[in-house]
Amino acid sequence: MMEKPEKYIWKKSYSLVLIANAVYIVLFYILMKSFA
Amino acid sequence: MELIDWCVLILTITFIVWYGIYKSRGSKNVQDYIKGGGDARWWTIGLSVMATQASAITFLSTPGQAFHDGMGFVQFYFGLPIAMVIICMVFIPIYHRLNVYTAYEYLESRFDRKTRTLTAILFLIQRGLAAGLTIFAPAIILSAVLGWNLTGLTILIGALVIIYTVTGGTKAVSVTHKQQMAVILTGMVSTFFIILHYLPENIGFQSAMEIAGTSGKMDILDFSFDFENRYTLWSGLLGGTFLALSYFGTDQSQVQRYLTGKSVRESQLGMIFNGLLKVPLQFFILLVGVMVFVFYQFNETPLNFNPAATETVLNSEYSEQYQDLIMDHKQLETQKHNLTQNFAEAGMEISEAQKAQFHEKLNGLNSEERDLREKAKMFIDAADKDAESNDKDYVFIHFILNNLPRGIVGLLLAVILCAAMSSTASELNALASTTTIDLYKRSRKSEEDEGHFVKATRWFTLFWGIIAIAFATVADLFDNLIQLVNIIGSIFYGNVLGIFLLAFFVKHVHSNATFTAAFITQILIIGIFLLDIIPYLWLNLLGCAIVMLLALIIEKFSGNSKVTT
Repeated sequence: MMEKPEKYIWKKSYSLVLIANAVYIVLFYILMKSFA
Repeated sequence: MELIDWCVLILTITFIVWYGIYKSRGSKNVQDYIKGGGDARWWTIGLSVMATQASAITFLSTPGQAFHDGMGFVQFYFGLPIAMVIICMVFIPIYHRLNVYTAYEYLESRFDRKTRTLTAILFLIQRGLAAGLTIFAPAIILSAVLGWNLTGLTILIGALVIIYTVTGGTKAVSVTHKQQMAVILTGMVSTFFIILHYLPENIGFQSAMEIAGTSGKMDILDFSFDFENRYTLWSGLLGGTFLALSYFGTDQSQVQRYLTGKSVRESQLGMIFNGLLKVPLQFFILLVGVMVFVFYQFNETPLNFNPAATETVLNSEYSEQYQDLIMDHKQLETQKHNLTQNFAEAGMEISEAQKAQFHEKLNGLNSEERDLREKAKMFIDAADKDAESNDKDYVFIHFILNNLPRGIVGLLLAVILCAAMSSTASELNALASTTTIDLYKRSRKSEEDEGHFVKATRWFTLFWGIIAIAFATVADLFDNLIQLVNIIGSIFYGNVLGIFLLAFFVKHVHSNATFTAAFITQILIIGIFLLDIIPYLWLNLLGCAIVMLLALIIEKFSGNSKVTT
């Protein structure tokens, strides 16, 4: 159903957003382990 | 409130209203008035999107949420960056290519007029009610705490927004969002450092975090699959993506912000900006709440932060029992303050074993305090079932008014009013645009010039502003208003998102199948809600799933295989 037509273009900035947010979650985990 | 606070508050708000009118003067055509000239850069779009989402209740409620329940609420935003990427890839290029003024306009080119009209009306009902609540929610809290007249405050917030939104349209909304975000960030950062400064000399940031962690406030991530826990990593990633996609992708109050972009790239960058900063921003607001919690480990707190609820119970038959609770709470706080003061005075000389002992004792006292606060809530509920016993919305404003220095109190009140105004402005702007473009302009038989539709949008902005104020002034007549608006949102939002997902991703489904499915879905969802089959928050997901499934089934049996683009 979610067929991906050619017009949907992936950009580097999208990877940046997802990686940055994954890093936030890892940092939250470290912070939680340090103080909780 | 001191004179300097009044000066800061009045000057900040007056400047923003004036700036909005000044920067947007000369909007004469629809492109200028509804799309803000279509020349916005990415930082304007990003800040505008953030300012729209951040309502006054965000700044009143979120620190209070952290004070009581810790940092876990940040997980609610984990799906937002994923939604931002989907919107950048799919929604923005299509909206820009078709040069639409509203999200619903696209539905006519993809399906037909009746689907567009139905979706626009569903938006108007839901957002029209929410706009009233956006004004009412901060007004009732500020009036309860400051003693200001509730109706007067409601009319004041609404009128200020109407002035610049009617005058300057979308451009005024966007440019004021930048100023409002600047005020909001300045206020919140100042507060954070002031709290750190107010902590005892030997309590640095690390010790403050340890105290917060001991009391369970630093439990940021929850990996459990327990559906009873509202905020988990999984509900944030899955449910959060779904909710953010509905809100940012199909709600005109947000779509209109990125439609102002100079190009597809600027709009996309604006959303990327939001995707990068939203989680850290929410984390920071929650951290301010946690620091307020640490501050109150060394300072007195009321048993319940809502003064109106306290007054209600003290004037009821439960007054005596409540006063006993207040005494117990005072004794408990004395014990806690002795303990924390000793810890602060010991400073670096304390051993690891002593530190562990301190944390254990503090944890025990905080646990007892939580029990006392729960009992207090029970007495408030027993005294008056309509009284707001949940005081999380009042924690931060109590802290601001009783502890911050002169001038900063005015700045923080400006933060709250700016947040209320920024969300309301976007809502009125979107309601007026949708009414003009999707209903009024579309139904006109005769050709009219641009000026006519600009004038019509101005009148519709005023109309929706008056509706929002009127709803806000009678809002306290309804029981549990926030829940009411959330229920209305849940009933309609899922269906609307389902229609958009069909439009974007299921190309072989046509207008008749979609419209029939949407119509049946809406009746089914209302029926499911009335029969109370599932909790209302799940209606969103269910509405989206039903409309998509029904449309696919109807399309299959209608035998129409023509591809629509």
